[in-house]
Amino acid sequence: MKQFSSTLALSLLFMFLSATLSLSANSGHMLDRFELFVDKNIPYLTFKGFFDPGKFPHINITQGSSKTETTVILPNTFINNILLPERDITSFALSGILDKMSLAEKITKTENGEINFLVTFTVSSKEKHFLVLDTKRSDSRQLTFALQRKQIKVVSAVASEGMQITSPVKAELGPVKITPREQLLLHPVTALMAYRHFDQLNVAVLNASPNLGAAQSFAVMLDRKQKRTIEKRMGMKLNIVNISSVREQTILPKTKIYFHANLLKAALILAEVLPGEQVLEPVPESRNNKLSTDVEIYVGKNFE
Amino acid sequence: MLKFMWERILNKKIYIITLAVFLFQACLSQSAFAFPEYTSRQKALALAAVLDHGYFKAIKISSVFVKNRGKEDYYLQAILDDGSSRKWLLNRIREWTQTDELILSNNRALVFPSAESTDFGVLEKNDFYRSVLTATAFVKTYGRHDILEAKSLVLGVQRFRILEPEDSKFLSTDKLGDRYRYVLELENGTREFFTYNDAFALLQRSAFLAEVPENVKVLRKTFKVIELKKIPLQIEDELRDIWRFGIEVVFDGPIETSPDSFPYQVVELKLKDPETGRYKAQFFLQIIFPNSEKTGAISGFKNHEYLRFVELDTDVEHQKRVILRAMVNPDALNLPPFIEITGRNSIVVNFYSSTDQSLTQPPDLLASRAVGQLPRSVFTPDQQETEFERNYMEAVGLIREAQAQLNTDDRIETYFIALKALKQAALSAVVDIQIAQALKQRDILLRTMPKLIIRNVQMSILALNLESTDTKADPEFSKKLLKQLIHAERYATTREQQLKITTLRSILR
Repeated sequence: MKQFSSTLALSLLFMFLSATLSLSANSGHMLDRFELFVDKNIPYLTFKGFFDPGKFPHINITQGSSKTETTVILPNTFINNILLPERDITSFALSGILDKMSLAEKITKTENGEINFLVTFTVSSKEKHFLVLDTKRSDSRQLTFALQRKQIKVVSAVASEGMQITSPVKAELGPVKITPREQLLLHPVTALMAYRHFDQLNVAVLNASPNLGAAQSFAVMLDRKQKRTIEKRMGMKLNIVNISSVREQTILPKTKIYFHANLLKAALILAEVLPGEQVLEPVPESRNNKLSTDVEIYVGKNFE
Repeated sequence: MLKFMWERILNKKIYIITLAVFLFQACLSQSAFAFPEYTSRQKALALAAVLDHGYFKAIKISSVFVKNRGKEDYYLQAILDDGSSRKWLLNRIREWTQTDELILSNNRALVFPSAESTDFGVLEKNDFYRSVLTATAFVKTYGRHDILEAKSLVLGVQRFRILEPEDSKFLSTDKLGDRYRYVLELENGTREFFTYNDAFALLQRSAFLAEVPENVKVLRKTFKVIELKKIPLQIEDELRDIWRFGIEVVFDGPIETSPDSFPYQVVELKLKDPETGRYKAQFFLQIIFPNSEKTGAISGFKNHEYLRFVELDTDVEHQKRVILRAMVNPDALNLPPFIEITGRNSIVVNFYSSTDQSLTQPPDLLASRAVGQLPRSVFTPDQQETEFERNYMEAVGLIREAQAQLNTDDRIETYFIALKALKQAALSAVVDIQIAQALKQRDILLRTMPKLIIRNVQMSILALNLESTDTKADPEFSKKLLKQLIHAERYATTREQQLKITTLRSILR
């Protein structure tokens, strides 16, 4: 009996671990072709194909071996060899921006039999450009990188090679210029005419609590216990697209739900169903364009 | 006996497994937030150059060179003036800079802006002093997770000081463990405490303004709240049956900032029900007013439409902030509040109510299954104005303009123009969501117009009858009304409407 109970406990533990791991489904991207275009003096490099926006945060951009080189690692990515057979591209539709682009696909098999696949591409620009993922122009059918010129730092921070201190964005001080489009989207009534109703709510769960596994536990709770209730009340499918910890080591006293301007109702339903106390805020404008999710939940200290 | 008991406990495998899992998690939690011990070759080389000729625990640093553990992991080896040689890992270097045990030469300070990365910077303290001492205004940009995140206020500078023992934050640290060094006193009565890291970031951001651009308004004092006023319920959108009511917050002077500086949030609180003794979730809608003060007692309201216990409170966590707070039923809150700055020293917070549940109701799950990501808005992600966008915005503008018109006849005519603009928008649409939205707005308009037209014709006939019984109606005016009725007849949805239209047409003829 004792042996049976300990075996049962062990198998339950493994089942829990494997179930939590299975939350991150093995989906990814497929590169079909690429385009280089210029918009308002900013060049963009766009890959067309099929993409999983939930995996955009895992894209890794690093500086290459020289100042003009940038290396991008796209995890869980394949190249469509029929549509994109070339691996070293030296001729571009727009001349004068890029010198060369090399694509490399790497497929490996791990010890436990899993297949890892990724694509690394290296871009050499004619000027000192660096690539920035443009989530605003990226969706399930395209992945866009903006080619930005390197800026000179305000403070002489011993300008040395490879030292990358993220410089904060300079604040706009003058009166805020609101475009007609923004004006329309800002007013709750006119905004109703601009947004479509969704049938799927993409949620990211991020850890902002001292407990390391809080985001994972929260996501499991959301996915297993509350999913049906939430979906029924919202009339939308709940899709957890990302579970991770917060980079800036923030600890929030209360769980915070950030929602897009037209998703107040959905966020309220989430807060009503979820246990504990929540704070709901619209996504700050500075982060608005960077989100590929509809709702971001920062699991706070109050979540047990 | 003890040994026996311990053995008995350890014999139970389940305890050992639990202990192992606990220890594994404890190890994980320790390493997750730790500052790295090693860095890249490039950064290590740059850091060695920075530390050269500095001071470590009052001993001069003779030289610093780079060493590595593996291919990627680099650290420093320092030779001090006392002849000792020391291995310096990156996390230790960060700790020593925080406690002033490691000081750079030439009045500089080493800063590590992130607690997770070995990226570093060098604060030229003299540059910082010159910048802050000549500043007349300070650009305060709110940090991450603040309700005012990334928003900026330009505040007048009063005095800059280096923290002294009698100051409250002397030797105290921020959440990253960096000591507060400076205090900046501002004209609105707030104080800003800076670490070396803050000073470095502020210099990078050019937060100290010696000369303020003409178009920038410097806030030199707080906005003081005088009173709260109710704004009664009125129609906002007749097409969707949306009503508006509001609360006007009156201040002692003009509000010289943009409406986006006054954000809102919804806070959930679990409060004990006095009757049942059980905890129940209550939702509070809060509008935040930065650079504001409540100097006296401001009376609120117990009820105002769906708002309960409307009151104005001082934010105890932030300097010079007040909060307009009201309890709300989350089911009634379909649309977010909207802030308007008036020309009468006040801010109006507009709230919206509607009985139409379809406003926020998503489509039937079974009816529309989205494959992949679909655009959320009718506008294309890039900021380029397309032909559709131009036509659609014109239509929306016309619909809003019509709703502000008191004369029903004028309103109907404007709606007709809006219908044409919507048709143009539908014709210039390039994606499904654009055409769907254009047609949806058209249908909403067409659904409402018969009712409006019938009322307008009825009122016009009544007005003519009241004016004179002998004079005949202007044929042009009758023609216009008849044209409206033809349109109404085509889109009338009920038998009753059709009957009314037929009667009205016969009267006009």
